[in-house]
Amino acid sequence: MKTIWIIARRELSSLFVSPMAYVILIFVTFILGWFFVYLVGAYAEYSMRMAMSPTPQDFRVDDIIIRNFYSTFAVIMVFVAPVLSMRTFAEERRLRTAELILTAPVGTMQIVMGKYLGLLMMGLFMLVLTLVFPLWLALQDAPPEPGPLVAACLGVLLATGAFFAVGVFSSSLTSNQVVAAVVAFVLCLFFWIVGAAAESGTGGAFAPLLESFSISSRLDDFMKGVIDTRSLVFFLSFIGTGLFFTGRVLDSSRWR
Amino acid sequence: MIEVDHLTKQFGGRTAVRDVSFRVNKGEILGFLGPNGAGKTTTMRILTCYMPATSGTARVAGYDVFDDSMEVRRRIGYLPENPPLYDEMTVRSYLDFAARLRGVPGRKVRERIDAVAGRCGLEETLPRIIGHLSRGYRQRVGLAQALIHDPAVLILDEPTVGLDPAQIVEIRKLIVDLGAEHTIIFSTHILPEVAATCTSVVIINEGEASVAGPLHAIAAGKGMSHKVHLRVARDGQAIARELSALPGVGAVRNDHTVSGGYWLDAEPSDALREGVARFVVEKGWGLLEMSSVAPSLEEIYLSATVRALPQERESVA
Repeated sequence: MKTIWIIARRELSSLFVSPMAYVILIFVTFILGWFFVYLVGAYAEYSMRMAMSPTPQDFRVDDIIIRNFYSTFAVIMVFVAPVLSMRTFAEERRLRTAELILTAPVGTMQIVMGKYLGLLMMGLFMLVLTLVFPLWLALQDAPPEPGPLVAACLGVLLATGAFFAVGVFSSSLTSNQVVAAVVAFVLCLFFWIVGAAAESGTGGAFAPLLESFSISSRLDDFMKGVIDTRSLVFFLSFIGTGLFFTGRVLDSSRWR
Repeated sequence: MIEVDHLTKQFGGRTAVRDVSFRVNKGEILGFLGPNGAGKTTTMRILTCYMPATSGTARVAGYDVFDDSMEVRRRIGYLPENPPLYDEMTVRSYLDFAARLRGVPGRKVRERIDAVAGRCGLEETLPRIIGHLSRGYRQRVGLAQALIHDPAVLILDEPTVGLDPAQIVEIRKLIVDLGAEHTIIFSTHILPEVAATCTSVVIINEGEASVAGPLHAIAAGKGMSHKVHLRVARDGQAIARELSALPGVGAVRNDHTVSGGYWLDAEPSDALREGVARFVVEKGWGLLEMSSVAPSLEEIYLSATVRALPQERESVA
């Protein structure tokens, strides 16, 4: 456990010394901020309409702002996670720094977990940054419900974790960071859109199977404020499988 | 300390290391010699548990590199051919990382960093960023990393490659110093380096270890006889033939680098040289110089790595 932490800490700090992390942080916060402004506008307009409507419906800030906001965050992570995770193993291989950790008294899974944990902390950091937006809502006298907010954040964190697992796996396959990022992006996108494909009916007989792989369908539960054990198990086993395969790839690359 | 038995490594259909066996005793410095691509790095990578062997065994301090990999790793410090440095880190944070990764207890990390920094001449360099360092300093940081957990065994892959002559001398001196406390294997293709630092040597070529053992034993065992170098004032046609007829003298050939120079294959005995000297003087050839020459590492190396030694070098001129 201590070893995992040592590797994770180095991984995180190496992310923060590269300009990449800052570019991504700026990009993500800018897009999200812009989208948040749009959502607040939509919310204001909707509440105005409801106020004048003869048959006002019940509506909440959570449904309009929080849910859409964190769904967008997850979509952005489909693009961002591959970029953040592409370096993990590909760069070590290209610069031949892998020889240091691969000859240290550390198990392969510890290395994988360490690198993964470093990325996850980065994801968590990004998520914490986005909390300014709900905080601002609270200051504007439109406080979001804490329950759904926690569920949404947890969902996004798990989805991000799943994308990172895919990214770490892709990075272990190659010594080329760009290839790693592209492979990770294609895989993430696949797991993101299979749910939509299943829902639209294009999946045919495979629809139930496709849906069972879908990250977006699982995330929807969290966005509705539901923390379903099945969804938790889905994400944790998804991440576990990704990391397990990463370890296998690393081990097999030693034999060649 | 290190026992390698019938080690073989294949990459696909290509055999990189073939049936290599050797021993390194505690406190020895073993020079691992061979041309580029001979299988030096592969053998070292197997020893450091970076990759497993196809067949054969290797043991470090009694632990098998495959079965007790973690125990072996704890006891080995490894400097790969390209020092595995993270360019964005400072030297101190890098060594800190390496120390903790190698299982140095937290309260001892600082002490170990200072110790290896002193050893490798890095005291002033600790706060600097690795990416900004010169080749020589990068090599030192790599070496410091290998030493950080005070391992029983040090494995250094071409530690002097790409360094300037002054740095090479420094690193060699450091290796000899380290040899007092550690068992060391280092690879090189520079012969004087081995002669200057090693107690024993393994010569590997095309994946096969052709020669292994202490330097002097190799020289004797390989049939590389001692030589006597002779220089006479009045050179003549018959000299080589008449010299080779002397008892105890083997082949005689011309040394073309000096006038009247000859190489005699002969045992390193004083009586024999005395006899040769008397003979030359009696013949009135005018003895100018005579010296006894032990076989050089270069000759051993060439005879081990070059398939067929050119015949004319050995024949009577």
